[in-house]
Amino acid sequence: MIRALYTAASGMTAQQMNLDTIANNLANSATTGFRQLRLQFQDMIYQNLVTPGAAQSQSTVSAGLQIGLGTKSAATEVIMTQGGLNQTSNPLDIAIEGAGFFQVQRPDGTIGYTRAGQFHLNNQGTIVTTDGDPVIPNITIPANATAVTITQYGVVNATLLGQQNPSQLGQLQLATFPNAGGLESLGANLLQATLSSGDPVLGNPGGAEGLGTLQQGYLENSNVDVVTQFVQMVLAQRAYESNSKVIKAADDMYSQINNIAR
Amino acid sequence: MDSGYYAAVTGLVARTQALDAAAANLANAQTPGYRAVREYFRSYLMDSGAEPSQIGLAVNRYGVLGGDRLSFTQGPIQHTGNALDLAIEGEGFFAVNTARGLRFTRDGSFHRSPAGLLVTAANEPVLSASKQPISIPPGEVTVGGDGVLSVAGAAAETVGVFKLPVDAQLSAEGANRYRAPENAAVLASKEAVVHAGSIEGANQDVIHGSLELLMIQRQAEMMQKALTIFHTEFNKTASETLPRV
Repeated sequence: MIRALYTAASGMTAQQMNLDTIANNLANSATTGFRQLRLQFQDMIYQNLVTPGAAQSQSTVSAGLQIGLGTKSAATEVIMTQGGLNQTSNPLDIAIEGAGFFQVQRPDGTIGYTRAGQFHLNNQGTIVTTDGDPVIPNITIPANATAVTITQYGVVNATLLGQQNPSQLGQLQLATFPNAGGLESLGANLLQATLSSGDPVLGNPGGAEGLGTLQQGYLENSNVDVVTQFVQMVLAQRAYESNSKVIKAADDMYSQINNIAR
Repeated sequence: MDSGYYAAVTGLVARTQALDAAAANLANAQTPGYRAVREYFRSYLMDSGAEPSQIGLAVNRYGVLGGDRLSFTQGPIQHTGNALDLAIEGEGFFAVNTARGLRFTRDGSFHRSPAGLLVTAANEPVLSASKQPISIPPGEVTVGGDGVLSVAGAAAETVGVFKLPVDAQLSAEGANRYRAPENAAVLASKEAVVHAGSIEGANQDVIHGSLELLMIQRQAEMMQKALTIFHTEFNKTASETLPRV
């Protein structure tokens, strides 16, 4: 019965963490390019009081007596579905339709990956993120350029002063991963490659790598499904409650046993 | 008289074990692919003397926790949206190649490993219908109801769904995995349907779990009452009243 107490405690801890994840998803439901997370649970090891299939004197035990020791949170999975597109008409807002990520040069030299295409120009005219980190490959738009267009295949064009025809200023690249769900979230809409995500596969938008295409003047909403998150929240709350009932039941049984000899 | 006392003790011990099992079920109410444990009680014949009388048989049958079985009813299928989250509707398991051998699971939260294999959250390869690891070429993946995995529209492999003979007792190993007895025949499950982009929840619902909890609690209370009666009424009477007679 002491097992029941710890088992229920493991359930409560797991549901607490579940609620933390749901709260974070809901808090980011309006964050551009945010990918919702889902907490994965696993059952813990079992105590074999009677091992199934063990030989008894005359026959084999058809079913054992295995008592589970609770649950644990195993991993958070990043849900990689497409978010809705939101028109902003800002020429440097770019949404990705597909699986790719923009690459961002972080101040510490490492590369971050993001789906949030809220880009701006810095004082040199380079395309940067809201935090000022340059987008890779670096594309500089001269101060005298007008009518910046970004095609769905990532070609950046602008009309320079005194010229009739637009000239090509650069080509945006996207990255994908063998296992995008294994990317590590860094905050500020940035993700980082890990051993589990694998090495990035680079390519131009619209290519054969399945990177997706770009939409200029749009931002991608988060893919948080608020209704589902609320349902998950209710379930987490009820599961927490039922585990606390187990603790109460175990405690009651303890006190009864203590009162056997009156 | 004493045998009744021990019968109640045994019953109480069995209820505490049943409480442990009910606690594990409730703690795992949100674990994907978790199969609830249903315990059963069995009578245990103590003191089978040379000539057991009918009365002796009735009095000396103790109720102990006989064992538990995994319940293989269907769990709810929850939509997640990840293409490689797979849920099985119907009988069957996914087969996983672990370091300790072949294991079975209903938890289909799979993903593509950096090496391009279909793996579980613990990075163990999921097996195809021909019991080989499944390699997924780059591109957009879809999985059909028959488990056929296609990349960019071209069928690549079939995710295996297996079932075991009815008499093969699976034992739970933790981490959502089940172990089959050695040399059990592993057959392809034809009736199972694979739902891509979904996860099967635990087949333990909170209502039944709570009812079970309540029942165990009441039964334990009854055993405790029986023990108190044996202790206070019989033993006490025997020890305190009899010497004065």
